Amino acid sequence: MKIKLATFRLDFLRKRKNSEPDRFNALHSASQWTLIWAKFKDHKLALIGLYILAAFYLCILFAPIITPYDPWEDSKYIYSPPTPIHIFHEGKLHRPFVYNQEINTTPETFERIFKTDYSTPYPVRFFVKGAEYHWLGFIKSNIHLFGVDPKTSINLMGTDVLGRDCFSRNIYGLQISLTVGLFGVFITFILGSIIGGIAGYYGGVIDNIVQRVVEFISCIPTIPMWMALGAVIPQDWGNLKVYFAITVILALRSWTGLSRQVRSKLLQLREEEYIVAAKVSGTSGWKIITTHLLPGFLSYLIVSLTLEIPKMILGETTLSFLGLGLRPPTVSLGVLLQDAQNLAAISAYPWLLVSAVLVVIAVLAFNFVGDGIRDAADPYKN
Amino acid sequence: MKLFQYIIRRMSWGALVLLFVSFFSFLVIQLPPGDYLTSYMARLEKSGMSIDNASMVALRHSYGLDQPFLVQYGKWFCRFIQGDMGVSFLYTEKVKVIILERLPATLLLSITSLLVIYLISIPIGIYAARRQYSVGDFLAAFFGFIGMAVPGFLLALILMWIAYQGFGVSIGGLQSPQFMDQPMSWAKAIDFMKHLPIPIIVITMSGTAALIRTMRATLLDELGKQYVTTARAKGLRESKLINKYPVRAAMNPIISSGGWLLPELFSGETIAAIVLGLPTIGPLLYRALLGEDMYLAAGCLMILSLLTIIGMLISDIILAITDPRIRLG
Amino acid sequence: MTGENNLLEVKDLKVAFNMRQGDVTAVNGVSFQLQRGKVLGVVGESGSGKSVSARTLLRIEAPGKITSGEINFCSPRHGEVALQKMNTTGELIRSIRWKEIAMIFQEPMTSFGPMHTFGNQITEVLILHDKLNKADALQKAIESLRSVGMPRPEKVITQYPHQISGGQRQRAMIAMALACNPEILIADEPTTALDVSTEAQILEVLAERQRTLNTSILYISHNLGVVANIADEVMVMYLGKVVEHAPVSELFSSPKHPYTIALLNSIPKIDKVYNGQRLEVLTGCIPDPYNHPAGCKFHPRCPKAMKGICEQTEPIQQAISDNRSVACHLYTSSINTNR
Repeated sequence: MKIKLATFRLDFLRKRKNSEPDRFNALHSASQWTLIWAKFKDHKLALIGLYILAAFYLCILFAPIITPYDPWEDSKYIYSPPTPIHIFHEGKLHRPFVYNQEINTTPETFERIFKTDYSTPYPVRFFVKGAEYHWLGFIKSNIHLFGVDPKTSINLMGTDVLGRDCFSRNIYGLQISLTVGLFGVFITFILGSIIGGIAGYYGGVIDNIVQRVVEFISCIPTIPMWMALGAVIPQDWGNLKVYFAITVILALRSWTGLSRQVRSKLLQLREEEYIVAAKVSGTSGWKIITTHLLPGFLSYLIVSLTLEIPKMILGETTLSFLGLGLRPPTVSLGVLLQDAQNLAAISAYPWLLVSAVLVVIAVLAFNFVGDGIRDAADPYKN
Repeated sequence: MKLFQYIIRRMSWGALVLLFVSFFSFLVIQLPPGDYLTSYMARLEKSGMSIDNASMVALRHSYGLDQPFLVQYGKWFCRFIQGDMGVSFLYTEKVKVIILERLPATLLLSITSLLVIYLISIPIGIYAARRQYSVGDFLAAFFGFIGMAVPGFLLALILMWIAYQGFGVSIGGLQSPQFMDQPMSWAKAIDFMKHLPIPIIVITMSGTAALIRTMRATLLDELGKQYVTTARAKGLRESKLINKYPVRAAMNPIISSGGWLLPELFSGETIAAIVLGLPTIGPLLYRALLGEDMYLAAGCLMILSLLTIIGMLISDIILAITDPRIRLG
Repeated sequence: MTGENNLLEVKDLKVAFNMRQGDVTAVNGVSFQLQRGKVLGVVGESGSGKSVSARTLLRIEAPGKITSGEINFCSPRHGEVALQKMNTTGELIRSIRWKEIAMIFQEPMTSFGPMHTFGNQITEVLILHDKLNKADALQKAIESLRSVGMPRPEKVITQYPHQISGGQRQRAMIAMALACNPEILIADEPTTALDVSTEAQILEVLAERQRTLNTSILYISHNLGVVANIADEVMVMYLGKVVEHAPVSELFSSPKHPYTIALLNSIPKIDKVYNGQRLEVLTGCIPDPYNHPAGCKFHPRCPKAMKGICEQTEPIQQAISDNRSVACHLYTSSINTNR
């Protein structure tokens, strides 16, 4: 079989020399990444996942511009349901607009009642001036993508207990929740590949020790371990410090899986005949790693990392939900869900669960993309 | 004989892991600045009372909080082995008593969940693999994605909400209040059974989803192997040959999945219990962590890890017994 | 069925696979007959459709599908049956499998289930087909193992596949295939994965079985030397078609088809002095399975290809004497452009 493969390759080279370019040759000389992309595109779910993620990360990047309000700004519209957008006013077609919601309090129970005032349409305007913000931390501006007259309010996803706009808060929440995964995975990648790499490269005693430590850590149930570590974070730490502490906590667990994979893959690749052949023919260690090991490896790493991100997002959300992760005033999807902790809140203000829907979508999208890359990156699969 | 040696080796390994876990547990509990007494002091001061320094020192000494970390750990661990897990500050009760009270419910939920996971995921996984790309396979994949993407606490909330909206009952805990202090009876048992499904669904959802995926993928792998064709060429009935050969081989990763399933299960159980208010160890740990009740928290972590280690040990041994490749080396 | 001694007759068999990139016709109009007590060798490169043809005889060609053709089998218990019409999971074909047509597979490493003992896997067929009880089946399995030269069969019966070597495993496979005394034994490259001495022993076992019990053997190989040893007749396949069919001695002494000639030339000869000259090698490789060449499928690699003929019309298999046939325009008396 192997001999046949070799003659096939030789033959293929000969064909190229004769300069007979055809589709067959084009396909066979395409780079690894072109092939992976071509296959990835065939995977519909993965492509959809990729589009969703691209949309999410664009939202994150332009969060202050897309959101109509400052996510920490209180308003009189407390627990306002999502604002409906109309296009018919008094039976006539009108540009998209909203009606003002008047707030009345019943004298007996002090219950708030929203009453729609159908007299004046407030058109949805684009690129309006609003709350001031610093985009990317240094570009000062007050232009928002859309908004309405300050006399009324547009809350696409309703408002919370302090009248803060849930749409704005969710977009900012995405910013935190989706980057926690990225930073966490970055730490996982560094820890996992270095420790796993050392174990796989040196083998022997070092490998044994690393393997044992990994086993130790995986014996502790994840959530209780995260909870315990989350509880360690001092109450007086600032937002940023807590944020990084949480990413480290999430990564502390997940590097073990990656290091295990890196190690076993390295051990397996080390024995492969093409690596042995490269060694025997005197190729330098560095060259073997960069030209032979890494390509056989990188796609593998990317897949594990992509599939690790959603776990971290879920971890952050769960921890924050329990009050052991990020804390207000930081806005993350998990923190937002703290408001939806009891049945009464959910049944009265179901829009608070939008954050949960966003979590589910993000997690699904990452999983689809991960699956897609895995299927595309495996050269031995049809 | 080889099997016996293997079991002994795994058991001593488990003991070693437990030692490590105990150290980790204790370390985590010790890490936050201050201890239970400082937060206790702060609370007292808030309410206008105060303790003078001398009695504070005395109190600290009596709890052993003034000693170096390793000494505290050593003492705690020695006592732990003898079954004494210290005293909970929050409950002013022996940690052992509190945990033992909640152990049966924890074990019951975990074991039931484990059985439910296997009973559901294995047949579905087999079906999905045998009818690849069928409607059933698609549904299984859909369920798998949902189970993977919906966080446990959200599932718990949604199910509670559905129960509340649809049936007008609030389903929290494992029994209705009126049965709380009554002796065991049929009515109590039935009431208990009514409370069981939601926690079980919440706990098993992600594990089941993961296991269906594993079972399907492994079985698909096995179905493509030569020995399946051999069995078919031998004239065996299709269902028989699939159950005898590839399913049997695909069971191995499922059995060894006990290793990662158990930590996952206790994680899910912790979340479900906190949200649904179940009388298990998870919420105890949660409360202990929030209240800096170190002995209780350490005790809970230890018990959860111990259960995990025992479970892994059992799954390793079952695997060794069932797989000739491991049993006979 | 023509001919008294014919056990199996295959007529214009076509088997196709539905792939995502398109249909692949792996077996494209194969016809042959297998006579009682004879050994028919099938030779060809990988991808020539020889294994698929063999599997189709047992109706385990899935995921391939028979698109046309006939397979008539003279079953001792069911009379003459048309295998191509049978339900692949039905009662009838299952009673023929292994009891009347058994098969030895190529990969000794993976053709036994890893979780069951050899005893379990061999007695299974005896219990199923010969309705033996467990003890008798075990006894028969041991005998069968002994008859193929397996050392210590009583021990092997309790062992698992990973515990014995590849050669021994292949022996066990043969023992299992012969346990029910099948009429036809299909051997699909049974010695490819084995070393040469084991190969010789296994060939000897097969040859002896054929001599003593008059078992018909369909022997598939890409090794012409092995086929020369064991076969009575040889069928050469290329891209799902039979290109030449001849008695073994004639094929080796006077090959007709350019492909056969090229195959024979690529074997180093022990009595020839090469003087630094290179061994002749068949140029080119098997074409893309989704995109077969028009006309004669061999013409792009054929040294004797005739322009205007070979790339336009496909040659049909024609008898050139009583017992041999060839599919090549070189031997076509009159070129019929309609076909």
